[in-house]
Amino acid sequence: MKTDAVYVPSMFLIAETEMTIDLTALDMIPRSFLTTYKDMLRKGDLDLPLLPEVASQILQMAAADSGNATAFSDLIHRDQALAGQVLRVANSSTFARRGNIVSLKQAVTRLGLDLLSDIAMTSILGTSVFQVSTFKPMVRYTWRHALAAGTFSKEIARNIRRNVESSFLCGLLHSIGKPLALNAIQNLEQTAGVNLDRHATIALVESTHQQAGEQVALKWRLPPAIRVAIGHYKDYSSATEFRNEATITYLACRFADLLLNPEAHDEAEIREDPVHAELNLYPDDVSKLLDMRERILVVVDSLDAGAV
Amino acid sequence: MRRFDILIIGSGPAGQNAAIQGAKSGRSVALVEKERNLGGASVHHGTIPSKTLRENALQMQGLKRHADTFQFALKKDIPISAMMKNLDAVLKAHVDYMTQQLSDCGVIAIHGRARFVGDHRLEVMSIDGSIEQVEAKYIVIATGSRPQDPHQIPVDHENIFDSDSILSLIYLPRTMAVLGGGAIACEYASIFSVLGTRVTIIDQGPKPMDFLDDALIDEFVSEFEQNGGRYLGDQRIESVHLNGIGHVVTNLSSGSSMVNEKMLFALGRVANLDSLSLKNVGLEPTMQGFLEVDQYCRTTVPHIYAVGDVSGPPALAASAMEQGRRAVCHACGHETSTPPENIPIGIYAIPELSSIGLSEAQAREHYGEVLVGIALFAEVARAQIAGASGGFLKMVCHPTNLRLLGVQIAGEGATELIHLGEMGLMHHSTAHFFIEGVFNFPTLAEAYREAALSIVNQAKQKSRD
Repeated sequence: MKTDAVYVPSMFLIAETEMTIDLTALDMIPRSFLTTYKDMLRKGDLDLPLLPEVASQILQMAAADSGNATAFSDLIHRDQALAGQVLRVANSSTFARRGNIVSLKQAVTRLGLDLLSDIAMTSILGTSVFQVSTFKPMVRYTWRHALAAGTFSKEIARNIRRNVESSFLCGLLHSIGKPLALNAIQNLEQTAGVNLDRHATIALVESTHQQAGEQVALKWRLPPAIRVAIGHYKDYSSATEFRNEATITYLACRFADLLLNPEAHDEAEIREDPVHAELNLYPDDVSKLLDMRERILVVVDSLDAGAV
Repeated sequence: MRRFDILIIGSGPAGQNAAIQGAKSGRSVALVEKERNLGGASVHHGTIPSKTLRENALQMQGLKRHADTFQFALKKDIPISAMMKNLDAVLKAHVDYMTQQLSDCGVIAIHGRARFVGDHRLEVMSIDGSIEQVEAKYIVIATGSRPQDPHQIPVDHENIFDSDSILSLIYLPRTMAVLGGGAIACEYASIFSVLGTRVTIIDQGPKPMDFLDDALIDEFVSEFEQNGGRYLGDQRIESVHLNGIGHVVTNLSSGSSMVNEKMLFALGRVANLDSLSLKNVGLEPTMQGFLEVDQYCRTTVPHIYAVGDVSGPPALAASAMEQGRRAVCHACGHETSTPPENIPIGIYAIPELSSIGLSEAQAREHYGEVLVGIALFAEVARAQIAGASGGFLKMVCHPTNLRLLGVQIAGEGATELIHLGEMGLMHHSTAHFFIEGVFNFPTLAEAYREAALSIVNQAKQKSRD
């Protein structure tokens, strides 16, 4: 049997088929740019932008004034950035007396949908909307992959009787560092008057997104399991706490890869991944999970409703 | 192909004890377990995790009680993970000990799923899908049970849990409905209630745990309600569904409806027999889904034994252990004692409940006007010192010869205290035995003397009348 694997995501490669993740492209980035960028990462001084269509949906819901609780609850469960913003505000000092919020459903119950709706509105006002023109396929892929990973995480957790809500959040937010990093790079390009090569941008996002995600998770007081999933989803065996969450996220990412890019991934190889033994998933359990692909794709496609 | 004298399927309390007994009898023994770790549902989903949470709930209750005295306040919304912080250490210690003990005895542990492919032959599929065939002279089925999967209630382990998934919760819900009035339902309901969740138990019966003495049931309901819980008896579930934000809506046949953040479905368990291909050896479960066994735990196929939950009630870890030993002793040709007449029942609810022998009602049915002595813990010095003055010990004795017929205890330490009553029953003791014995002072066990004194006094009064 193989030893613990390290997950190498190929989402950028897949999202833009002409692109490959070329880490040597990092050498093309000016040293001063890198220094400033790394300083931003270290401080966790990063902004999480919303997708334009999500911002638009929130505004529409607010304008409708019909208080469609179900639709709003559904939206925060589908969108990586909105989910992150809701947890950030819910765990901020303003609401700290209500206790730690570790799941979106808990946030809905503790804070109420009206308040969450206000939080979403505030997050629109206080947050930029993604400038997706250049990296549109990559950004869209990241969003879709996050939702697929969250949904697969749920099903894996259900199967092995681990917490479903927490696993979902870990899957949904594992790659939250990617939009954070990309947005920071784009902003820095503008302020520094630098125009990075696309390969260099992608390589920089790929090589720094976990650090970006972990820093923001810490700064926003996101549940510790999410921080561990962000930092260890590629190498779950290195997680010293919340190892189950990291392991489930790893497997969910592999399933999400296969779901969104079946041609680029070897199903047989994924079925033989030693992670299944770690989670005590027998071959028929794995088959049942993979049989959910069609249903999960419908969930992921629903994110595109009203897309730009 | 590997061959063994005895092969045991399942490593819960029954399987472990069967394996150790077999190894100590000098037989070659293999133990097949489908999970990564040994111990079964009892260790990993039930007994140990729930007792850990219960212990921490009691500590929290104690802290709250003393908050004014010591001038501190507890944080709101303490996550369940904090309550279970020591669980991993407890489980690891237990699993390590068990694994070492089995290994020291020479038991071969096999990780995989087993199914019968011949009279003495099993096929074991390992986690990577590879197949191995093993043979054994004797086979012991100890695969335990799992929560029933109801068709009409959508148990999703996210909003609606069963007893195997309820402890995956990471935050305390504000409200919870518990379906069922059995021991597992009442244990979890009372624990969550003490932790601060508003819990409603919904059941068909007028009272929960109707297999217990009425006094124990009344004490449970009273304390449960004092802690904010509610028992809704004589109810039938019409439907259960999730509303738009994932809260659980329960419609009752009475026409009323309630919305709770979470639900625990705890209405019975089913034996884990469906993946064993029992037909290949001519075995078939009963209508109730169990395997029929004789007094030696032998199924209708003489070389195959069934122990623990797969053989039906009482489905207690203690009796499962005894069955495991007895089955293997019989297989090894050792002399086997008859099954014990009385098995203690321990319910780790808040309050803790324990019972052995006959309840008052059962004793009256058999022996007429039995004598009943009750010692309130409020009158026992040790309970007062510990601040655990709720609860009682009830002793039921024969009306004429004062022979002990049963003991019922509610309150802290009930499951430990009951063993003194068990010894009394085993040795056919009378109430005098508990008066003549010397008890440490102060102890909760003094309650036995108080109850026995009451019985002896009643007997004297009766003889004077």
